[in-house]
Amino acid sequence: MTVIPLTLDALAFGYGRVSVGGPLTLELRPGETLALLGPNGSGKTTLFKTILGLLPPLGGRVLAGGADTARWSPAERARLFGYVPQSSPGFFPFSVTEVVLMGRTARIGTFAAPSAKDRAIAAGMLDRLGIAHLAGRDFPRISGGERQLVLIARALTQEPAILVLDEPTASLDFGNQRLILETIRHLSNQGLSIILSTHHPDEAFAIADKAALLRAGQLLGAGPVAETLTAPALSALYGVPVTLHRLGDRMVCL
Amino acid sequence: MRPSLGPAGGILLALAFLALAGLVAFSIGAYPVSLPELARWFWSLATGQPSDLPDSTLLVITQIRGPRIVTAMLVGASLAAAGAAYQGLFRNPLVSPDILGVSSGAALGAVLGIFLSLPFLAIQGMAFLGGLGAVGIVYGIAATLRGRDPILILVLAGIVIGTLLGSGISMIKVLADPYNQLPAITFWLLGSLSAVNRDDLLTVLPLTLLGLVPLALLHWRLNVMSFGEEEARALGVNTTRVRLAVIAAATLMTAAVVAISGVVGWIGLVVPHLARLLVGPSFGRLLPTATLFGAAFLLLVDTLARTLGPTEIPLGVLTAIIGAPIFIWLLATSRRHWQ
Repeated sequence: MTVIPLTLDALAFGYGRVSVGGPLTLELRPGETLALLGPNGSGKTTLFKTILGLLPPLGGRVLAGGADTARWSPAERARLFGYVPQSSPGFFPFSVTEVVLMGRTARIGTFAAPSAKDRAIAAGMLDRLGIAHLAGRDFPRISGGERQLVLIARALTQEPAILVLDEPTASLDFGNQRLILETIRHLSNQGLSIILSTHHPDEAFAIADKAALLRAGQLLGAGPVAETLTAPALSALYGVPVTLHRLGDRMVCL
Repeated sequence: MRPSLGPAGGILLALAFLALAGLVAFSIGAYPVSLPELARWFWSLATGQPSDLPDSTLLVITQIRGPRIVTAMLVGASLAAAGAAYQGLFRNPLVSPDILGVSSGAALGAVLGIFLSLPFLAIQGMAFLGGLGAVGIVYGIAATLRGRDPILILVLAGIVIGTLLGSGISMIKVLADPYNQLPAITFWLLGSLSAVNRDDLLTVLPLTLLGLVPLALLHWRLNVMSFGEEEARALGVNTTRVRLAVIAAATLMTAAVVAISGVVGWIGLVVPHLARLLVGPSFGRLLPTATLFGAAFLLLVDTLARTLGPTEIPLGVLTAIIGAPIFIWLLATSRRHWQ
């Protein structure tokens, strides 16, 4: 696994000429997990798309290992970032194996198809996430939680340095939320850098090293979870009174 | 639904179907060519020895029915391959060269070429530009109006532009010489291979191959494109370049065959669906299967067209009669595959 720090340097983001937020500065060191919290419409998805290079920055830079990614090709970006979008059923009935293999696209030539080696990597990734039994199933036909795991497997098959997950637990039932969080924590323990957005401060307490609070496109705070996710900060972020309580060895939010 | 045939199964089935269609097409008609005669001709071709076939049989094989059969295969293959490419690229199971307005655009270009008495190659060029212009406008409208049902908007934009181009064609028909040009334009618009000769075939063959090559080379990227613009780019696909290359290739193939056969509808819509049911959505298998089935399907239709009645039936009429019920059946049974 490559070790690459990520820096957002005075990054401003938005669609076309319409500014959504920034400029903001953030740093993700190798192996860290950053949770991005903010109310609906705060600009989390726009910020992610800008980091991923799907939208051009309106100002500032996205630096990977100190290098500006502005002029990178989609394939270069896909080798740095593995992106897990909010789960969609896909369009044609590709099999789970084929969907995961699509993660190899940035690692093979423009006119190439995945080789036996790529297939082995994809199969290994299904194994690693404990979903090898889904290999032959139709991607549109599996459950939401299974689909999220498959999309994580696809992103990991890109062999990225940084995994970016857009609300990975949204629209999942409680059991599947726990399963996805466990999976993310496991990947983090193996040294992968992770950025995820979430609506639940509890999830940040559970798996993140750092948190960033985004409101109306501006950072209300960023830093280690314990120092950033305080009751006053969360109350200001969501506009409702929030209290925190210690439960065992971690904090929960009420 | 899992495809009902393995990776090679669908392609082999399509090949067998095509070979059968070829034999049937040769053996039916005013001068039937039998299987032994065909075998002897192929043998003499392979060994370089003169065959002992009568001149009339040789003439039918090499000058009359042979070119027509190969052209029919080419037309069906091109329309089916282009349809499969458009459906994957636009993530839309309801599009095809005719529905996107590509065929109408190419037809308008070609009709304009006929009207201006241009040489054949210039007619080809006009057809290509017309087709490219049509798909560009249709896609532009759909992209501007996005946010609503994208599948429906693209189809409706195609129908609207297709109608508009159709009235352009009508305008030229009004202006055309009613004794020399009009009958030719009218019959050609309905789709016919009755006037096809070897020279037409040799002009179109390289153009359709030229279109098929990029589609085959980009088959994996086309799979990824079916997850949508953003996901495909996040997975490392240069979506702008792939989209341009695929549209240009599919439009080139469509325009090339429209310029010799007229507008033949339905093939590009129905055949990719049938192929997808057989081998699944992966483009590496879908493209060859749809291409071969398209070739066989149109060859059978053309054989019917020249043998059913005392005069030739226009191809477009027959493909519509066969294609419409098949498509309604697909709508009824396979809607779940798109979601």
